[in-house]
Amino acid sequence: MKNFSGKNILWVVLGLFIAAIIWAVLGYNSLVGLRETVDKQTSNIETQLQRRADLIPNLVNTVKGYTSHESEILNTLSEARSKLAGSGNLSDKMTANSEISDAVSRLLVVVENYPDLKADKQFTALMDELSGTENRITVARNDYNVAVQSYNQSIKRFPSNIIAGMFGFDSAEYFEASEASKSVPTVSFS
Amino acid sequence: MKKKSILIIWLFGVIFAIFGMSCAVNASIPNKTNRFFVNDFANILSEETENYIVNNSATLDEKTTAQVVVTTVESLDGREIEDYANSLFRMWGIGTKDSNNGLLILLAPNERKVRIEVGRGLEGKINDSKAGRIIRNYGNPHFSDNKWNEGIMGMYNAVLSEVYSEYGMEVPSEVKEIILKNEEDDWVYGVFLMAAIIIFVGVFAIPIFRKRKYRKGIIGDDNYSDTWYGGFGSGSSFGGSDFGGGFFSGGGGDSGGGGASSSF
Repeated sequence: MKNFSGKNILWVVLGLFIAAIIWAVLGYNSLVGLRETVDKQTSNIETQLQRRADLIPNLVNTVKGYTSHESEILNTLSEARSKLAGSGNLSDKMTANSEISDAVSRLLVVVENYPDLKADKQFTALMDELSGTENRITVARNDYNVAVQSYNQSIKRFPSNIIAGMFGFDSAEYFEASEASKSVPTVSFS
Repeated sequence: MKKKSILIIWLFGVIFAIFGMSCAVNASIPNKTNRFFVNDFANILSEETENYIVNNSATLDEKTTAQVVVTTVESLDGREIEDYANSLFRMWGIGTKDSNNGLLILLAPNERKVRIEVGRGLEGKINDSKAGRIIRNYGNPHFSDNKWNEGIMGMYNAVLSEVYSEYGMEVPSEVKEIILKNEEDDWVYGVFLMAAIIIFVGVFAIPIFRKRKYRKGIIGDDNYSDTWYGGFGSGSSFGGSDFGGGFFSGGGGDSGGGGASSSF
């Protein structure tokens, strides 16, 4: 009888042990999945930032063809662009990006003085692409923040925080939108 | 007893609070109507326009799984039209989940804003500048005169022909023919197209014309033309089916914020 119950306890312990391992594996995998979503959204933002950087030289050249007095804005644009292309981490890139946004909205004000430029097909197409990309960045940033939120929640919540602590999952940072980049510059060519 | 009822009320309160929070984000976005492809919340479109859109979008959906949705709203609730359009697009899930081949034309007549929101799968064909051009060429000239039906029809037809060409299909003969004016640097392409049409007419159409009676419409005009596509063999299978009473819904499509918007 004594022997039998000892066997029972052994089974229970073994069962609990296996259950714990399964739980740990599942928890780990779900954390990996969440972190991957965050990474995916990060690269999504980077793709759009790159796209934006690629558009700037074209814009600068197009504007140069029509104006001779606006070199200050164009220089700012080019500088912000090289900052965007040169900086390694995402938050620097985002800062450079909002500088571009500022310069673009200033440019849009100035453009009013150049009807020919305003009517230029190349210019209107570029402005469409630029504001489209700006909007994509906004959407990508929101998606990123949503992904970060669910990831951060699971590494802080009990019991998945135990696994997060064991395997060194660090919390990810949110991206706050700067005031300037919150509103997409709208172009009206009516 | 009293304690128990207080507890229950408290529990309900918590549940409602949580529920309310999760709904708050999209509180201003209306639910889709049963017609799905056209949702005239601002009540500015004619019955004819609505039927035309539902029928043609249903046909497009059937043939390509792509979904083109037209929505007008009374108010954007103080949100940016880009933000509003993206939320609505995702909430309704326009296009299929796998291809994300949805497109939304959103018109806010009171805010005087319009947007084309393009699903990820159609971004290749309708890029931001093309979306902008469609708005400026076909929408804004009419919208600035409050001619909502004309503007919506113009934009819708332009979009529809782009989507059909993405899938390598001929635009059904019912769709009012709109060829996007080749106003950019792709005029060369236009010349080639013209040459191809002339050759085609010369080689194929004229001999056929001699045998059968054909009515040829004028391409490139906004007028409805009874153009026959009998020679291509694609228009024939398309009947005048009526989808007006059907229940339609989105397939879970996503948009990354592509497209263009404009005020008028």
